[in-house]
This record gives sequence, structure tokens and C-alpha cells, in this order.
Amino acid sequence: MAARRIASSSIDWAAFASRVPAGQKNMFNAFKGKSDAYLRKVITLPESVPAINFAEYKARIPVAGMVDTFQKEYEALKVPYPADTVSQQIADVESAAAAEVQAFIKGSEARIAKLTEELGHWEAMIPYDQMTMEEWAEAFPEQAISMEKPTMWPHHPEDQPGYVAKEGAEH
Amino acid sequence: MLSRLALRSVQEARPFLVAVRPTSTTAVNKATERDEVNFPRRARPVEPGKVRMGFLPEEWFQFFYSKTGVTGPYMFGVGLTTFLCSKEIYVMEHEFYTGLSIFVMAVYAIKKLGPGIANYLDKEIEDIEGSWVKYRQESVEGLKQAIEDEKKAQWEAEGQKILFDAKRENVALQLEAAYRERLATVHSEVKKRLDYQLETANVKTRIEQKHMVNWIVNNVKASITPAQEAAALKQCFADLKGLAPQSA
Repeated sequence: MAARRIASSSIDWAAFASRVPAGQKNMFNAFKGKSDAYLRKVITLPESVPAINFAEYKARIPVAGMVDTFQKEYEALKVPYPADTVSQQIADVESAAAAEVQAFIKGSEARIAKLTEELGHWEAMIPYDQMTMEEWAEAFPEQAISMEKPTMWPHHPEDQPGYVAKEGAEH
Repeated sequence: MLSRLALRSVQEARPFLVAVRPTSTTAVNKATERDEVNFPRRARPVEPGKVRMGFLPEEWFQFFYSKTGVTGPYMFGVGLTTFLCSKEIYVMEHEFYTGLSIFVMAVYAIKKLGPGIANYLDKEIEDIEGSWVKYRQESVEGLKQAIEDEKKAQWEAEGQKILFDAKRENVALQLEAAYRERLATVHSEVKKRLDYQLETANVKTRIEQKHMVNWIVNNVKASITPAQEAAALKQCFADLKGLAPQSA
């Protein structure tokens, strides 16, 4: 496959960092550290094969033809680029993660819809000092008396049958 | 007790147990169906109604004003009182004078303590109503904040794409680093071999040279015969004598 030579980072780390949620900052820093280490390694190594001064060797070495052979082979040498074995794994994980993100976004949208509905309920409410008791009962139906679900005397929530106390509730 | 009972129905604070029958099963906000133009909502009045002389409603004076002017209601009051007292329709008996004394004391007490108690009660009402209003405001803000946070979480989740780009780039960087390492290895290996040959050639030349020098010197030394040595020594002495200063 054609070797994709790379010499510097093409990722916008600032934009990436701004998208990291607060709880995952440590993981992001570790990841960035690793990426920086790889980049440093690439930069410190020379990009292509350094040249060898064969003329000097030819003058000094008495072994017949050795330098010439070496020179010919050196020039003709093609170093194979290492094979990429993990890209497929990355693609798999990426597609799984994309599916997860879609599911999360869907759940998030549902939550936003519920919150928006509640917000609409609050904002459509008239001010308290203009309400009658009937309008209050319409705005807060679960707190008003209803004929369908009557409560027992003394009408406190903890005195009703089937009441389950919340954990850590006050006395 | 003179009050506004005469003119409109009282809206006292109802007790908590109000039986309300919702007339519809859907969550319709009946508040929005009201005709606000012709039937504006009545807000809870904050100030008590205007009165004259402590207990006579202002509206009664307004009622008289168009027909009889400013002094009308007062004249009416005086006339009515005179009529009731002179005809003994209103009998001023013992309880009346008791009531008069109590009235005086009551006026004094109200003037002294009234404002203080009124302020205290107003503050209590403020606290209660304020807590409701605060709860409402906080609910609204909390919901808005929650919506914002959800949207932000969605935006952050979409940043995953950059993560995978970065991973691919890391793989590419590692491959590149391995390739460059290979190049460096090739270079160093070839150079090592050539250098070795160079060094061996150098060593060989150096040893040959040294050996040759030693051999020549030894041979020359060996070829010096004793006669040559004596003649050379004599020559040296003669030279030295010639060099020495002429001393007596």
C-alpha cells in the first residue's frame, strides 16, 4: 500500500481539548502525552537514509571491489514501510463508539424534550398573586385534593397507606 | 362592622382544604382561556382600601361627590346621626358609654401598635410568598441550565470523531517512527562494516611501516664492522679535538 509519510501533527488539539468533559480530563492528558511522545520520536529521527561518503572508503580500503559492491547495493536498497495492522481495529471501535454516541444523543434529546415541557409549564403559569385556588389546583394537580384519589386524615403524605419513606428523610 | 361587604364579595384567605374538581382530563391550562380584556385578573391587593376617619370607605364619599360635592357625605352623616339620636332610634344607654370608652382606648392602641404589627405581618407574608416565587424562579433557571448542560454534553460527545482521527494519526506516527528507525539501522550497519575494513587496513599499514623501520635499523646496526667502528670513533675524537678551543 502507498506509504503515507507523516512528519507533523494535523490534529487541532485546542478544539479537541475544548470538547473533553470535565471528568475525562485526566484521560485526555494521558492520551495527549502519548501522542506527543510519538511525534517527538518521529521528529528526532532523520527523514531519509543518510549518505555515506564512498569515495573516501574506496581510496583507503584495499579489498578489491568491496566498496563498489557496497555502494551499488546501498543505492539500490529499498527499506519496506511497516505494515499497518491496527487500522481495522480502530475502524471497528470507531463505528461502535459512533453508535453509542447516537444512542446517547437520542436519550439526551428525549431528556431535553421533557425538560422543555416542564419549562413551558412553568413559564405559562400566571403569577401566584393572580391565581385563584382553582387555577392553583390546575397548575399543581398533584398537590390539590382530587375526588379520584382522596387522602386519609390527617392528610399528611407520611400518614397515607402505602407510603414509603425516602432514605435519609427527616423525622 | 362596616366593610366592603356592601359593595363586593369578600375574598378571604380560604383554608387549605379546598375541594376542586378538575373539569377536564387533559392538561389544559385553563388560565390561558380567560378573556383578559373584559375580565382582567384581580391581583392580591397590597394596601388596605382607602378609608376616611378610620372606618368609612372612600367609595362612599365618591358616590356622594357627583350629586352633593365635598361636604355632602358629611352632612348626610351628621343628619343621619342626629335623626337617630333625637328620635331615640339609636338609644344611648349604658353600653353606649362603655363602647365609647372602649372605642377611645381602641383608637389609642391601634395608633400605637398598629404600624408595628402591620409591618411584622407584612414581612411574614413577604417571606411566604417570596419563598414560592423563589422556588418558581429557581425551577425555571434549573430547567434552563439542565437543557443547556444536555446540549453541551451532546456537543462534547460529538468530539469523539476527533479522538479517532487522533488515534489514526498516532498509528501513522508510530509506523513512520519505525520506518525511520529502519533507515537509521541500515545506515549504521553499512557504515560499521566499511569502518571495520578501513580500520583493519589502517592497522595493517601501520604495522608494516613499523616493522620495516625496525628491520632497516637493525640491519644497519648489524652491518657496522669493528674496524669501521674504531675508524668512526677515531674520526669523532679528531673532530672533537679540532672543535675544542685552543688551550695551552
